Amino acid sequence: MNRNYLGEFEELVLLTVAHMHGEAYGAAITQDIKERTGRSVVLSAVHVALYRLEEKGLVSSAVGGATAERGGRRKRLFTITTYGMNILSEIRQVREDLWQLISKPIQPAVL
Amino acid sequence: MSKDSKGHLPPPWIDKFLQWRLPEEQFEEVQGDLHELYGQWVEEMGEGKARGRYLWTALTFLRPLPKAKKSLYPTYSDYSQANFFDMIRNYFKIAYRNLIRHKSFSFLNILGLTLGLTACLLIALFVQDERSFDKFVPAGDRIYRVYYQVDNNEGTSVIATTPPVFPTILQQNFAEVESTLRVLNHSGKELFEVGDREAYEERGIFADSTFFDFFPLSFTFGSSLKALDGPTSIVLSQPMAQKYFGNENPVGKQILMDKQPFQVAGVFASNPKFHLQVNYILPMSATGLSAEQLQSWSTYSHNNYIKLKEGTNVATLETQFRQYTQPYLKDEVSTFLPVFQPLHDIHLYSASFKYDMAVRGNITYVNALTIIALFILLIACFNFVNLATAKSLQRAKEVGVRKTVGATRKQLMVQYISETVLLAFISMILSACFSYLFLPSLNRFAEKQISFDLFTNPLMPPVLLLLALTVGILAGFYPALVLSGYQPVRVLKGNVVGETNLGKTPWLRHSLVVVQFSLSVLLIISAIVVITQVNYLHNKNLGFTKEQILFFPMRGDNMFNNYETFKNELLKSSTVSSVSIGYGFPGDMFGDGLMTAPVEGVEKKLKATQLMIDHDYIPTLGLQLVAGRNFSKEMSTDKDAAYIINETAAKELGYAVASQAIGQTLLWNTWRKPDLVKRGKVIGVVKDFHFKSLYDKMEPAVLQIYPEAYWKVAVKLKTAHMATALPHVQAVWNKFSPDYPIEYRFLDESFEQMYKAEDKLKSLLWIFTCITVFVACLGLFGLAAYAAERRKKEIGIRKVLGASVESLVLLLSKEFVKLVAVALLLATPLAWYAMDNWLQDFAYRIDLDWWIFALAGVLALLIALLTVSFQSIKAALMNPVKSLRSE
Repeated sequence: MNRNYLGEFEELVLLTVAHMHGEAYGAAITQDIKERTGRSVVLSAVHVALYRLEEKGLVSSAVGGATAERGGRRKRLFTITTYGMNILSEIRQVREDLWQLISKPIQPAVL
Repeated sequence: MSKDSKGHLPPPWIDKFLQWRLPEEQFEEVQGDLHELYGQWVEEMGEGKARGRYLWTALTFLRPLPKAKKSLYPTYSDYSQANFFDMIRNYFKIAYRNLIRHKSFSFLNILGLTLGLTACLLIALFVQDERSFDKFVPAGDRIYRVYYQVDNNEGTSVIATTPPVFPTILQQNFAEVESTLRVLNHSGKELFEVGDREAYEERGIFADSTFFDFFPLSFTFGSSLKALDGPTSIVLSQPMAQKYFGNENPVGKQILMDKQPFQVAGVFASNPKFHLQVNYILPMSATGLSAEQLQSWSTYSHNNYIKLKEGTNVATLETQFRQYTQPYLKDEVSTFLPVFQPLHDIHLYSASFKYDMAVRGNITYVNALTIIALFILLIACFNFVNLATAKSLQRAKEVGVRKTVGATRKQLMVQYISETVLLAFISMILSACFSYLFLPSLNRFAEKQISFDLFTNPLMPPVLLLLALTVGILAGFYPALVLSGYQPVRVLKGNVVGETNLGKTPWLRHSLVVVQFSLSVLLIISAIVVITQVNYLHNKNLGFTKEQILFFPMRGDNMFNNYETFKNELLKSSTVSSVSIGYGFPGDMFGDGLMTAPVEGVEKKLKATQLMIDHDYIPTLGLQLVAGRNFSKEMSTDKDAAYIINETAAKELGYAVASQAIGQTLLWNTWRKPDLVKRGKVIGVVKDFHFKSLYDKMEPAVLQIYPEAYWKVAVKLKTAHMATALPHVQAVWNKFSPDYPIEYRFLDESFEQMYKAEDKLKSLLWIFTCITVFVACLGLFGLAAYAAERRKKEIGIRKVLGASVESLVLLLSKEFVKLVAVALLLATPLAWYAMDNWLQDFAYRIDLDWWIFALAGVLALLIALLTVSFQSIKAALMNPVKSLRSE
């Protein structure tokens, strides 16, 4: 896919998947985002983002083992692909370039 | 961190919802995630809140999820999408091949459905038309007609007309009434003249100037404003204006009505959906009724309409009005109750009203027709179900193959239902064509102007398509269910499914046949009853001779003043056997009057029809006297102090034997001068004769000589040769009233007219019974053919072993005869109930004899046997070699 545009939320989910190192699945990501950002995220939104990322080839998934707290249901574990990693660093590069261009640190406006 | 969620199970119904919502491969992970989160939520905020949160989260999954790339399990729905269009094309190909291959079956199906749909369409058009009367009137839901419910010694009757004072009272005393309208029927025919064009016209009315505010008919010439203001203005209908003035604008021109000049104020276009179909409208002031007469409480002659203000409670107003009028509405023998009838009910719900000039339909017949239409459609659908299920065996292999290559049951059902829908569409197109063809005949028959605007009415095509779709799905659902249920392993092994069914009775198919035949028998019985009753009405001995009697009203002052000479002139020809002049001839108009009989000191009141006759009335009509004598010219008292009564009147006066009534005194307030009492003795009792229609019970009648009311002339002719008699009558007429053309009819014609509605019902029932029976037979024919085919080998073997043709025919027909017998048992009580109800409308009616039901039964059996035996004889006659050699 040529269009490497990512939504803000998609980027957040992708970053979470990346830092969880193969332990990322719907409930865990929801929980993680909530703990880190204080943002209350709806599960289905996370799922939508994950599937969309997979569609774009940024993450890949495999069905993992069942645990007791899930009542024996298997989870789908997501890992970031190399392409996903590249996109992330590309985004980061763009942001850092932009930060460089801001010479002065930002000052709060004085009334 | 991970908490155990045991004991904290979320509501299972939410999971059910998720399972329904999500694809299988996504459901498991989503549910797992949800349960895990739920466990945490319970810890964090307690079970109650967690549940709410759980439900909310589950609901957010209503949004469409992108498809997961890799599914947990490969399902064949992944592959079945592949050649979707090829599959649909294949459906059509198979459907087409099936139609072609089973030509006779397809033909039976399409024929049955087409007939059913055509009947349905035509009836629907008719019913729709009947129900749309007066719907064009703005604010029609606020317009009511005030009618009378009258109770007296003759029972309860309903009268469409009420006193002319009602609107005044309502307008003045009830704030809820916005405006009122009086309409007076101009009964009889009037001579109209413009230049040398002259003709008698009927159906005219006098109306208040509010008429066109109530009923805004569209004007082709002139304007409805102030059209009825002048006392000599007249408003004509379009056809009538055309007749006298051609295409020119007649507004302001003069037209003579009964030699009086009137100015045309406007021409209105007739609206066929209006309950008052009139030719001309005159202002109320043209009646010549005095203001006093228009405030009368005792004459009920006017059709009174009221328009209520918005939001008025009609029931309350009606009660108040009844209370208000109660003190005035008394009469020695009758009680009167005013009732408010909604405008939209006038056309369909006034069938039994007396003195009603509205164009009336009959809700009973409209409902009956609707039911019949549904019957026919149902029977046609059943045919389809039956034939398709019977035929399903032959398609079992197809089902097997389709299932093996991966068709789901749903797909198969869709396929078979769409085949039926296709068939229904073909039938719909055909029946639309047929309806189009038959509509003119229906219009002529029903005297309507229904149009079938298939292309101009935007509602029509979708409604028809929807109907076809519904019929298709209804008819196709069960066969599709059966077909798609076959198991491929069994079917493909050559183990014919039917064999497992052989011993079983096909309950559904049999009950459908029973229902079909019950409906058919129901209609057959109804048709027989109606036909017998109508024939009875036409042929019943009415107690007088109505044949060869020429009948016409007198016209012109000269004729009225010299009626005796006129009568004698008429009698001069050898073609005339007798002449009677009077008012109150059978089948014509009548006046009522109250008789007082001072019996043993007590005054007894009797409401009776007054027949104003002359000395020759009784012999002219051939009435029989049971006691006493006819009026005689030798008796000078006969003219002013004598009455003849009918048997019913004698009975109501309390004389069990007719001769007891002779010599009794009767008092009557004369019509012309109500203060003048005519006192006379009963000189004769005439045998009851049906001067009114057979709907009505025999009413008491008083015959007397009262020249002031003489109006009509009845001429009894000696021969049926009009050629010699008519010129004579015409010549005498011209001698007396050269200014007026003569307009005569024959007395028996008016009796034929009386039962027009029943005659129509008779023909309608006859047609629909035939259609129903025919469609039901189509189904039976198909089933019999199928049964014969299925048992071909059995018959072959039986024949080889020596079975006779008769026994084989019996074997094959037995089953169907049983079904028809059951149908007969079911239909008889229903038919009895329905027909008994219908007959209650007639005072004189046939008995529901057992032979009617027997005849219907025999007919149904015969028809069924004929249908079935065609197939069974064919099967029984077949050479067994043919059916057995292929084994």
